Amino acid sequence: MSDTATPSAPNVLVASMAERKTARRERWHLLRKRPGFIIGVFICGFWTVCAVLGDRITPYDPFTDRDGLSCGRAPCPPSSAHWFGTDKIGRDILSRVMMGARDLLMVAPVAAVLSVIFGTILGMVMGYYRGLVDNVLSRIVEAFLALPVVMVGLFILTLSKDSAVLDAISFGSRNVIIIYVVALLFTPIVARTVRSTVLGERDLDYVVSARLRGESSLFIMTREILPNITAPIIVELTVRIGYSIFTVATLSLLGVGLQRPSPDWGLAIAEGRDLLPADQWWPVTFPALAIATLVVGVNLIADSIQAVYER
Amino acid sequence: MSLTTSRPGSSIGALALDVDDLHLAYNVRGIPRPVLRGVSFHIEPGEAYGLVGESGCGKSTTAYAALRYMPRNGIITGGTIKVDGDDITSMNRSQLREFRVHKASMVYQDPGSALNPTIKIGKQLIESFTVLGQSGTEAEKSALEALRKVQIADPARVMGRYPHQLSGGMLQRVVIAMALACDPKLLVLDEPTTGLDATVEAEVLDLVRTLRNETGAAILLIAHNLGVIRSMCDRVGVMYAGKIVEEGEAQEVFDSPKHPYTMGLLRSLPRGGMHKSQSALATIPGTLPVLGSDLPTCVYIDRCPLADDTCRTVVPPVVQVAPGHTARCHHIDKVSEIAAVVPSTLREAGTDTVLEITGVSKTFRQAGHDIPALVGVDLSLTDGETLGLVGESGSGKSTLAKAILGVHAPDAGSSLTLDQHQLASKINKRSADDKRAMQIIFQNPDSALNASWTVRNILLRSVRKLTGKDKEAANARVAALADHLRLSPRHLDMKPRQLSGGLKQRVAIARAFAGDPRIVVCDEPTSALDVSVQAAILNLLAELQSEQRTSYVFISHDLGVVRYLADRIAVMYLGRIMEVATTADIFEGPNHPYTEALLSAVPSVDGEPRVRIRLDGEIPSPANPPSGCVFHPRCHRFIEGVCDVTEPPIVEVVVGHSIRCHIPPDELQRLQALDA
Repeated sequence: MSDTATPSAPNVLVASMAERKTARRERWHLLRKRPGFIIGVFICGFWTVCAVLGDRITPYDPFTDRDGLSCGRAPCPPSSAHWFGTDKIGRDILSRVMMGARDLLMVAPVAAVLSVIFGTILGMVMGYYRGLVDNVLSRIVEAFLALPVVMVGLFILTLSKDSAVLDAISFGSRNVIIIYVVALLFTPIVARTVRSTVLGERDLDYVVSARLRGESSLFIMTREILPNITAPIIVELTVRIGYSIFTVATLSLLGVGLQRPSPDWGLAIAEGRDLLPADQWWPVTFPALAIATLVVGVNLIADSIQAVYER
Repeated sequence: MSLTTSRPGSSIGALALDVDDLHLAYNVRGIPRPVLRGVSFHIEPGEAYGLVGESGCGKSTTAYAALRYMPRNGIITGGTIKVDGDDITSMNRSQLREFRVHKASMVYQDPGSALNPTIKIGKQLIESFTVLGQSGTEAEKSALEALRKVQIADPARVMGRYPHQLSGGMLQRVVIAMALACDPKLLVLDEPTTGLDATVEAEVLDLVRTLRNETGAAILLIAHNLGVIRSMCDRVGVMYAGKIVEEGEAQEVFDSPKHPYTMGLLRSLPRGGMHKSQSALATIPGTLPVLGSDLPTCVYIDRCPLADDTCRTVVPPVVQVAPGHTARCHHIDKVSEIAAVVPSTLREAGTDTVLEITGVSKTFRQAGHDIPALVGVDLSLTDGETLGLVGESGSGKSTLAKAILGVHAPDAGSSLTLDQHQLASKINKRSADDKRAMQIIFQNPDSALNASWTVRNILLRSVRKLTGKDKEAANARVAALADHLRLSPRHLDMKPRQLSGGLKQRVAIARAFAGDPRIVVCDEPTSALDVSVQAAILNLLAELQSEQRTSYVFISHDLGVVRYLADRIAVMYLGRIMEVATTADIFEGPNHPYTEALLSAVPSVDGEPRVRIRLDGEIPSPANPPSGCVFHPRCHRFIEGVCDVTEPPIVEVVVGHSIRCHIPPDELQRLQALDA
């Protein structure tokens, strides 16, 4: 230690401000350092590019069999011309898999966002009011949770085929109905998560203080509590997107989701399923791998965000 | 084991702890930030040594370093630590483990988190004996014996309990029993009584004192409560910014401090019967330097009233003031100059009754059982008056405050009048004026302020909502409020987490005063703060009260603080008021036996001798209150056949001083004089 020094009164405030700013950037910093996050972003980025550009970057037209009979008869196994082979009516599977990301990536994230919005509203009401309101809503939510997701989806989507009401609110689009159904299926799950977070928050002194100055319940929920529970909601959203992709694919596989001629992966698996016994594995395998990579990619991102937020 | 050469005056054998020029840094984002800057001290075998200082000064880091417990980013950059002669800085993992098993133990601040909630007490305790190599049955015997040693009445039963089934005081005893299992040479206690009530604290400290005599373990005690340090320790080190700035015998350091920092700390405490009407509290301006800042000369320079050019250019020498008493300062001869009293210019409390509450009860219902948390409370409050509410946790202080505020609606039959008009029991039924009239300052400013709002929005919203001012007028009011509470304009655009504890509490106070309240409930507003910050907040509260004639309901477990700020004090037990009187009368006596016990439990920094009255057991559950006088099972003046049969009457000793006790005041006075 030196004997002499110039008087350096450290500006405590400026220093601590700088510290805070770094701390705010820290989450992003930490995220970027996680290999899981990088891989996840890479995978999801790839599928997003496919979805956006679609048939502009596919090697063949995904909807026709123009070049599909290179091997003589459909389906062709993977070859240098058709890397993933062709399906039973001669369409290029690589092109269809790339194109298949479009419908899924339009439907699944929107459904997840809707479920998080509804679930947050429901969960906040349950957690904030507690008592009778919470008791009634909680039982309904639990009843809903007891039903298998796919069963309910199947039921509603099957019925919806000739429902005028559903037709009206979905603007005649099948995709919109699927969005509604998946959002409805996930809302109770999100509501439960949000409810427990609100329960932890609503007895904190700042809420008491807001009540003491006469704020309305709506104000307290939306302006006081909501900004403080965004972290778990964001985590929930990323997790829901992963599940939502899976659910939409499952519904399509069962034939009630996206419809032909969509190159949707679930649908493609359903169509190629009967070729499996004939050792024609490629029409099923590649779309299945596509679903797997996308779900894994989204979950890698979700896990990283969760780990960083709940650090 | 190697033996170090003993210091002059010490007995043969190694020092229990010898820390020599310890430098320690925390690695933050790749940059080492110094936390300890050359800490040197030693503890003789069997000696008790205390470390004091504000939070962030490095005392806990030092305590943990004594056992080489460090966070992963902590690195020792220089110096040595020797425990019982062994250098622990150079030990490898297995040596370190062996050392911790046999030589040293630690007791933490929160006993609840020091024990595993899913394992029975007995199993956890037995484990600390089996690691020493004892067999199962031996260990069980030792565990029972250990519990007996820490004065647990029914050890066999406690062994079969889970941690959540025991009170904080009991848990801390168990933790101490575990720490003493290996018969350590060194016992480190890190704020062992901080979360506990004064009465329980007194018992735990008594226990530690007894055990120290029995086992001969040396003690390193960390506490922010200077009274605790004084009553427990032989010698004390005062730390600031990673350095020990003064060291000496506890009594001497506290009675004649020689370093400006020690002086500042001691003067910011309300002590020796000080009252706000006589003098304001001294404060230490500024804050602790930021972690890792460059402090080439005196570490205290930025906050020291005596700092001059010498201090800025020359490293202060370690000056020997008296044998064994050293201070690191250029100006020890000038330190007494700091001690000028700051005269008080406060107005006295008025005589107009602002709030009158009669027969206020609150019964919670839980699983079909009635739990009476408040039973027939009568109190009144005049303008500009501070009413102190004291009592152990669970006595109903906070419930009473919340009932007054309307957060919990009191039971039917309770009556609250504010300025002669009846108040609605629930907050949302009260008029805008009534809402404005009563506000609260919470204990913990972290949870009291919405973390996602800026300070400006927090204040602005309160001003607009409470006063109905338009945006422009409200903005002006916020600026005025901030100015009044010495918050600078740039603080207004920060989020609470960017502010220090003291500043956060100022924001909370500003918010409470946004609409010129008549009554402010202060729920332990300074217990989360350091003493120097506490002094500034208490001064501020007193000034605001004197200017605006606001009345305070001041809840605190710190009797020193209550004595300083309160005009009257109400003592609560199990939801009932046991005694109410002016502050002077409470400290004068005669007192209710419960008050007497509370007063005797407080360890004083002035070290005056007093008779300790031990309160046995815990505060009972309000769901099942004792018969007769609710205090009788713990009362040291219990009269059989009377106290446990009939409820005591409220007796007025002098005007304004009433006691709820069967023993007449004259008799109480006589008994209490006999004991003193």
